[in-house]
Amino acid sequence: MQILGFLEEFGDKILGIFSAITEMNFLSDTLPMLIMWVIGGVLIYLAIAKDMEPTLLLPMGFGTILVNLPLALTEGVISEHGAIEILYNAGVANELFPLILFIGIGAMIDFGPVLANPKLMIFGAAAQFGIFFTLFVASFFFPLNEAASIAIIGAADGPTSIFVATALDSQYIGAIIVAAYSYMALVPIVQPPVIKLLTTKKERKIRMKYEGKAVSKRTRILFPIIVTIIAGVIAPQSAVLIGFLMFGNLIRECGVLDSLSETAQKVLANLITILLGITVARNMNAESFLRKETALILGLGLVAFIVDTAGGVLFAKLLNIFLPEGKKFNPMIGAAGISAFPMSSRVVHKLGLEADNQNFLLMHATGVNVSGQVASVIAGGVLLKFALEFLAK
Amino acid sequence: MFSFLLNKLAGTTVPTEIIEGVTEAEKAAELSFRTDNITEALLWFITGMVGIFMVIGIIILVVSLLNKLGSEKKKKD
Repeated sequence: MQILGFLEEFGDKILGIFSAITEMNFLSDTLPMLIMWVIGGVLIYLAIAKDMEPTLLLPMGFGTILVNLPLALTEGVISEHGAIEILYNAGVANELFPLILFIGIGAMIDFGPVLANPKLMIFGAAAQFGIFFTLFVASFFFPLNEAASIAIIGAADGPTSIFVATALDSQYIGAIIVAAYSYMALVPIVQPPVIKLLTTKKERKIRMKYEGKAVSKRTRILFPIIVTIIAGVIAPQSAVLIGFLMFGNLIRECGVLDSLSETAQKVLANLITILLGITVARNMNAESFLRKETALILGLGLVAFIVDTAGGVLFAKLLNIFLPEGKKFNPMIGAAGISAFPMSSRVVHKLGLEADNQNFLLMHATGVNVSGQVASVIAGGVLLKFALEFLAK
Repeated sequence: MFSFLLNKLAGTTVPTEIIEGVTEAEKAAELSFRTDNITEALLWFITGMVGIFMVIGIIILVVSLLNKLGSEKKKKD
């Protein structure tokens, strides 16, 4: 009798699921679901076959399929007590996961090249031009808080993009994250044509002497503390972002926490990346993603990256007007100011070698690239400050 | 455009709202060209870039000072 009861219950459940699926309207339910499965598949393909930011695109791709299953909303995936919803509320809705990831990123970064030649940091600042330019353009189509969330794609930094978009309660988080991570992976394709368009071959051949000054341990230890204080006082909304990044760096540089540094760089960063990737897919449901705004956001993200590159290069060219021969910057290093580390510095180094096979720009480009990480986080904080003040009015 | 094509494919005239799943809130926030925020956005643009350069400039000065103090101490030793 118990077995019969169980079989009856099981049969009812199967019939219930079957009728729920067959009651789905093809155009409004099934087709969008299938499209999202294809998008999830494309993200997985790009991650595995093309090695494009696999740490995030693969979990996101799989998560996209998961949250677009027919009964995902009612059967525990993204329902109120579903696993993804719980993880989302625990770590993404409150911006916690990106901050913890920043500890790992800070522990991975060696600021030595920029500490040896601190004036290179100015290119990190210049290369954030694309963020604010995109904010201006996006404001023609979106409310300012959404425009700010979209503009932060130009930070070329996943955790910053997730943090700002979540803090501003953007309804386009899925599209923003896909754009941010996809374009970061496409830096070797996006940047070279822009750099070549804005520079002459003569400029690309400019050699920069690398002096390789030693940086004292005291400077390496004081740098994260000082940066946190300066950024926190001037742009308080960036304090938590910069603070977590610099905390990770301090763990690395102090010299007495090697095991914590290694844990932060590997275990912590990987653990949070796994959770973050599958959790942000919660916003990749068909209703949120399949909108005309998504195409516009992807376009604006590309604009942000292009203008970031252009901003850095043109700023270097502007400085060169005032510098004597022999002291000029190779303008390509300005392009390394975007936060896509280390791809951007490698792109610049490769272009330098193409122009002159004895022109080694890697250390200069790396210095600019890591300073871009700091500048992009500050830019995120500045945007947050403006947007939150505007929303409070 | 998308809903027009879908209608053609399906051979039906399914209302746009059902195809696109547009809610009332989304209709209110529909994509359109707007100029009400230009001034504010431009202000954010200028202030933001100035702010970043200012913060980075201060960091450059402080790090340069740290490096100089470090090298002076080395010379004394």
